[in-house]
Amino acid sequence: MSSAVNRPALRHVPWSLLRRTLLQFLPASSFGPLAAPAAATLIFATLIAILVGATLTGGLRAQSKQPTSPSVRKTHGATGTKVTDEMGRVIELLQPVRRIVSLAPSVTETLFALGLGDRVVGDTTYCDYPVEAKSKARVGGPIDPNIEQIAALHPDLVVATRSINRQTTVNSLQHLGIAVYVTDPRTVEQVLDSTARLGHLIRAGDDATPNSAAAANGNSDVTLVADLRRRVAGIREQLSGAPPKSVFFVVWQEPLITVGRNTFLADALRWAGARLALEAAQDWPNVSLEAVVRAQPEYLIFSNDDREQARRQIDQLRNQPGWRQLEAMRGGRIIVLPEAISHPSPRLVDAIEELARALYPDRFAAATRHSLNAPDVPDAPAAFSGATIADAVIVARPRASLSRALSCGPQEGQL
Amino acid sequence: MAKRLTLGRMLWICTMLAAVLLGVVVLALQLGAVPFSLGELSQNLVFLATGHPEKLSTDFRLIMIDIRLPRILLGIIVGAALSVAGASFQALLRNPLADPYVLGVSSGAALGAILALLALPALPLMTPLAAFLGAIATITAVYFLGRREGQLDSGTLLLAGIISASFLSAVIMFLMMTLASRDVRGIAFWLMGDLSAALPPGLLWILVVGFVVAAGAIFTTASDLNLLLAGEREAMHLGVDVTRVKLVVYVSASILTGLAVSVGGAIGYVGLLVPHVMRMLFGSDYRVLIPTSALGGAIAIVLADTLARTIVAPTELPVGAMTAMAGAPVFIYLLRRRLS
Repeated sequence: MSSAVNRPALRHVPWSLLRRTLLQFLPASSFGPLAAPAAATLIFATLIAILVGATLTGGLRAQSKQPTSPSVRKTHGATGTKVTDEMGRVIELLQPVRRIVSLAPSVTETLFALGLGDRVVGDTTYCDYPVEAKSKARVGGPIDPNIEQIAALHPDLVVATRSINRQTTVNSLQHLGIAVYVTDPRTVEQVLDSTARLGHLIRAGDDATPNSAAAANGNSDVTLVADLRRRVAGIREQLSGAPPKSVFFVVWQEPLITVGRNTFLADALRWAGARLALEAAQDWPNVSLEAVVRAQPEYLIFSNDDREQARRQIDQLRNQPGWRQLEAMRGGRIIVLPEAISHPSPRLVDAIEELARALYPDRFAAATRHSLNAPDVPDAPAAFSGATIADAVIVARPRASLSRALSCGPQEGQL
Repeated sequence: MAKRLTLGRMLWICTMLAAVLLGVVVLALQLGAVPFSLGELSQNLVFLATGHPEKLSTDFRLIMIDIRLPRILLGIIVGAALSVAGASFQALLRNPLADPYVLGVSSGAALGAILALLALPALPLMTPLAAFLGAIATITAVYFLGRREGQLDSGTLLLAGIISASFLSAVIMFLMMTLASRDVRGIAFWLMGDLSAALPPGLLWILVVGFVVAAGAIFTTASDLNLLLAGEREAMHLGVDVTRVKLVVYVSASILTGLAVSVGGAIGYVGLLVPHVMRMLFGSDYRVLIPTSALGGAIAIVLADTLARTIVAPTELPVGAMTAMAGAPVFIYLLRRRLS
């Protein structure tokens, strides 16, 4: 056993007896050629023993007096602002927040939307929107990030989200004295609140320095969230009085996974005038195709940024038993949304608008566009019935790269 | 292995293995998201040794002392505990296929961890504690199910353990599919074995003490285990207190498994393969098998975890995936070489 790990046990070993026994059994010659490497090993072993001792006693943090980086400053008990995150954890945030590591694509998107992209120093391998997010240092996937890599980036703040990151990751970072803010939006309202809150707490330290640019940025957060709120309110107004249409959202095909009623995604569907054909208490329930056939949803919803792939997938499903019994499939009432619908970030509002337009083309056809931010939303879709499948598929215009395949990574909130 | 076992031979073998472990640890200390050269490593070690911790580089303090070294130590303890437990269960059940999880310990621990995640998700230390309690509860239940005429019977115990393991796995699957909680997802990782969680230093101490006590208890029964392998009746005629030995081994091996599983999850194959590899290399005398298994298990896990941390960096693999991938070919090689 290596050196110090066994130290408590070895204390009780009669060393003199062992030494004598060892010398008795080992021929003297065997020490000759081995002497030098043996000595080197011994020295290294001693040094590692000291290192182990230092770790086990945890004495290093207290001894060091020279804070050299933000995350080290934090471990030395420097006072910061106390913030409660969305899981109810109280974290101590040291201002100003200049270095942020994002642990989820939705968080990265939100930070960029807030104009805080330049403060993001690290994100995950799945963060691909906006394009600048791809050039940040990668800390691994959202579920299996490399803690060492995160620590090496010396973040002032790590932002995680409960629906995709693991509790273990959050705990580990917490042990290391790194501030982790966990978002947990379960409704569209909460996505917007969370966005506003993140912008507020990250910029809180900027106000101390009289900087007109920072103040202007703070105002732009308010504008961003207010505009998003106006847009969702606008959709609600357009749809007022319309009975919700029943939909089945295909999160994953094999096994068949859909959306549970307590997720932000279900709430987003409700904002767009849809209701779940199958309601489940689990967040991402596995459901049987039988239940879908029985419920006969009015619309099937897929999310895919790759138009061709979505078309192939639907063409295959069309002839499969079960799927071909669905009225929505036979009538071509199929909607393919951008993958933004499954990210709890400001882009969610774009996706809600697109879904609402696809579900209620008549309500939006005459109306002027509410959104100034989405000038590229396609015009009201064509009629569904009687067309070939390829024509019937309404592919809402993808915002992310067209070439990205679904298989590149799991959708947010899944797994 | 006809060679007579002497204290000298045993110490020589253990020293060699300890040197290998040291080499693996030095390698593991260097590799990672932020690599440290041997020079940097020694320089910082000298600062530590001479009592100047304030001279350490920030990265070294943060990454080496707070993250990488504790993880390596955790790997050493977990590997040693699993291998010793595996060797013990193989003797206790007189079955070469026995591993630390054969009696359902890992499933019980996983269930405990799930319940803790459901009840108190934000308390960091609840998960290991609940997992350990789950393991102990399972092993206690299996003990009472596995008795026959007041005695621990290998066959009955094995069946009781396997059935309990299947039952608990089924309960876990049921809970994972039906529960609304999103925090349960992490359990899938946990079931594969995962050493990535940073733990407070105090917990390492508890593990070290627990390991030394339990492994020490098993070591005291080593000669009895040798006789027990020849058959219970024979051992009894030769003066072995079979009931006591079985109880000591059962309880200690269960505690070792519980400790390992509560912090590292169900890391597979180490507890099964390492004892067999050590038997092939150094003979099947339990007096040498137990210490060599401990060292071999530590080497295997530290090596596997280093690979898991580095081969697809920055993403980390669960260490359990590496132990199986790297362990099986080594085992097959040794097996074939021995047969030919």
